[in-house]
Amino acid sequence: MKQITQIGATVQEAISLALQQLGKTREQVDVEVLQEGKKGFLGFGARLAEVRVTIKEEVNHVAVEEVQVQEPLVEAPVVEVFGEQVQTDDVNEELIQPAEEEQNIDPIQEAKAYIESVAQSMGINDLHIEHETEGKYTTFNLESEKAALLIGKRGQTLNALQQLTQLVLNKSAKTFMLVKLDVEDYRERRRTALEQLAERMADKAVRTGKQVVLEPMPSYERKIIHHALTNRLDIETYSEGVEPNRYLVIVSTNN
Amino acid sequence: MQQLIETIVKPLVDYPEEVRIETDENANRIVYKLFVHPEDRGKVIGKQGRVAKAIRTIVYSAASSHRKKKTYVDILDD
Repeated sequence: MKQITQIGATVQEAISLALQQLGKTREQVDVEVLQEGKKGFLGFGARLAEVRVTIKEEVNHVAVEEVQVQEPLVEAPVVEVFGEQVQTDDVNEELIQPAEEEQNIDPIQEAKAYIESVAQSMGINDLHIEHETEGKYTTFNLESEKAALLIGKRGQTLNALQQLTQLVLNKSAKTFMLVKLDVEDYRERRRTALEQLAERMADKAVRTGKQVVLEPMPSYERKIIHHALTNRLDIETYSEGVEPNRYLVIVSTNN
Repeated sequence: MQQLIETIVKPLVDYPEEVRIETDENANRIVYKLFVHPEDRGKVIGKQGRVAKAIRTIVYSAASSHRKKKTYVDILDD
């Protein structure tokens, strides 16, 4: 059994470095995260990620062989007495298979299957999904004729599905992953709409001299508005309230 | 609709075979009662009811396109 420990800026990086050294693929090894990496702040508190990578292939072979060697010994008497060899064989195959399957399930494929099955139960049969992974972010782009049903009012159905998909993905994933769902560029359209809203509400705050309170929004939508208004010197923005009812307030800084 | 709830909940829990849904229907509303293994109850409710809220959001939006009746999802103890 060959085993090495490897450090890297992130867990992902440490794993790929270790795989390069061993000349193995991700499926052929077991990975144990010894220490999660931390980015720190301005270089303070940064910590490298450390992983221990073990080649598992050989170990598996030995285990399977042992099982096979033992089988005839156990089976023989059973066959003589009951004559049920076919059934006994079936049971043995089932015992070996699940262990192999578990290693092959890709968390992202599983998440994709989850989205598909939920959408289908909602009555969406023409769903098309593409996904891309970048670091810990996985984006699923969905396409369907009934996009409106998937998005819901103010994107709430899409956000709910995104949240559940993230749970499913992290249930099987080895490292923490963030999920982003998008339907036919809805996120981009929403961003434009929010930026326009931000400008309008900022103008209103300046004109009336009163604070403008927006409706509750999820954190990344508030971020879009904060960001859109950072260049304006005549107003200030901050958020109030407790999640999930946290909302943004715009105040005029004149007088 | 019952199948939708099962599709959503089963992959989230550790004991999918113990997910059970009962319906309680009368003239103007339908209630789906969701039963899960006691250890899974926290998983389907989530921090501050976040997961429960997400499940309801999806079920309600699917329900409103299916039928007129008011729909509810309850998570219950055995």
